[in-house]
Amino acid sequence: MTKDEYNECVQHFSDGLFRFVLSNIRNRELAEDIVQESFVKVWERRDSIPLEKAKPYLFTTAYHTLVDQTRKKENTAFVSEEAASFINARSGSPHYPDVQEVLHQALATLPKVQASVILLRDYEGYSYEEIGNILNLSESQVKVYIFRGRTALKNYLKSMDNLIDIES
Amino acid sequence: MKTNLENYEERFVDYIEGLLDASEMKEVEAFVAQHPELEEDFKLFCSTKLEPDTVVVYTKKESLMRPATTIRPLFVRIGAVAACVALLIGIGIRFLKPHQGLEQQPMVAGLTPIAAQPIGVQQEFGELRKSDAKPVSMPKTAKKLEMVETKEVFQPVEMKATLEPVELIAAIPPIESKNLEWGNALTYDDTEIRMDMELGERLSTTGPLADVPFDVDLRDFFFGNLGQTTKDLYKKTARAVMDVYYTVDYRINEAKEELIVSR
Repeated sequence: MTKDEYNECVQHFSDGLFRFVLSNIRNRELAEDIVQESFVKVWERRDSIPLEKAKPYLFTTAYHTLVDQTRKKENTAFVSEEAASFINARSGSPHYPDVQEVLHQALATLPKVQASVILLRDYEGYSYEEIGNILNLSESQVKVYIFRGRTALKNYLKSMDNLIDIES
Repeated sequence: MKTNLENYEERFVDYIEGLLDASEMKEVEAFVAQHPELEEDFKLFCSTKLEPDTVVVYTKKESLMRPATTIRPLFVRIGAVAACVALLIGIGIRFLKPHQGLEQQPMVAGLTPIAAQPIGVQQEFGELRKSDAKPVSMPKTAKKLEMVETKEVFQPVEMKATLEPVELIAAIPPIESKNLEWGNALTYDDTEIRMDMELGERLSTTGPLADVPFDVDLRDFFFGNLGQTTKDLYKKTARAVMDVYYTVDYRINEAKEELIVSR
């Protein structure tokens, strides 16, 4: 990958990568650090990374980093606080968030691998095979995680519906 | 596969994932119509598609970008300065000791001697020229700039002994802009200076000046890891020879800032 191609990667992929990480970890500062770290790794290995592999490489690197970071942060019980502030920041009315806000809130309750397969699928439109390559999973594993993830999201939405019904 | 009460969730997910063909989708829809108690689940599954919030963007792209041109001239300058160091020392030694016998003439190791010919220097030091013996072989590379005793005559360029530094500079072949393209090698005074390097990589050269002290990590230069003597040599020589001191200094600060920002 040339310098110009690397710079194109920054232009085209950094926003998507940032959203992927931010939706996963709900911490803007940490998400920015992970994005930066991912691009630094791509830059350092640019000689062995062809342009067409750069994007999946970025997501793979970011995923591994965020999983590591999350393990550390979970020990300090910051995730729930961050998730709450993230939801409140997204929503004009935290009591009646829209479906997307609830979904992103629900995402925080999923295991990282499930959240990641769904984000890569919905945000980036990757195929099961591509997601498998990024997260080092087989296609059948991806399918299972997609199923479990969507089922969990559906159940979360259902519980929210019930909650709203009770409140109203 | 038909949709039934055992597998309907899996089929609903396949439906929203776009894994079913048109007939299979209709079959799922018909199943939902036949089981109204599952309609809510079906709709909720269909609502689990996440949409990216495009308002959220990464705002620090600039810090990740690698400037392709901003520090390029520095490499040229440093390479040129380094070449000039060798050049100037060679010439300076020649001028500073005009009455010294050629048998003891100090040399800069590594610079290829040019065959003796009538030039300004010879006119100034005609007597010395007379004893200018036949050139013998010289090492093509040198480990560092060091003075060695040799019987050879060192004559880097044709010029008069009365030349001022500024004129001396003028005698140096100009660096053409076409040589500044990224990825090109700058051939300068038989010394190839690679241009396709990055901050943090080593500036390497081939030819007679290979392994001369400007085989340095530019970052060492920027952050003062380079020996002060070598650094001073670059800067002082630059000031005296090419008036690039401030340019170099400016580029150093610029590159420094880029590096700090990127960290």
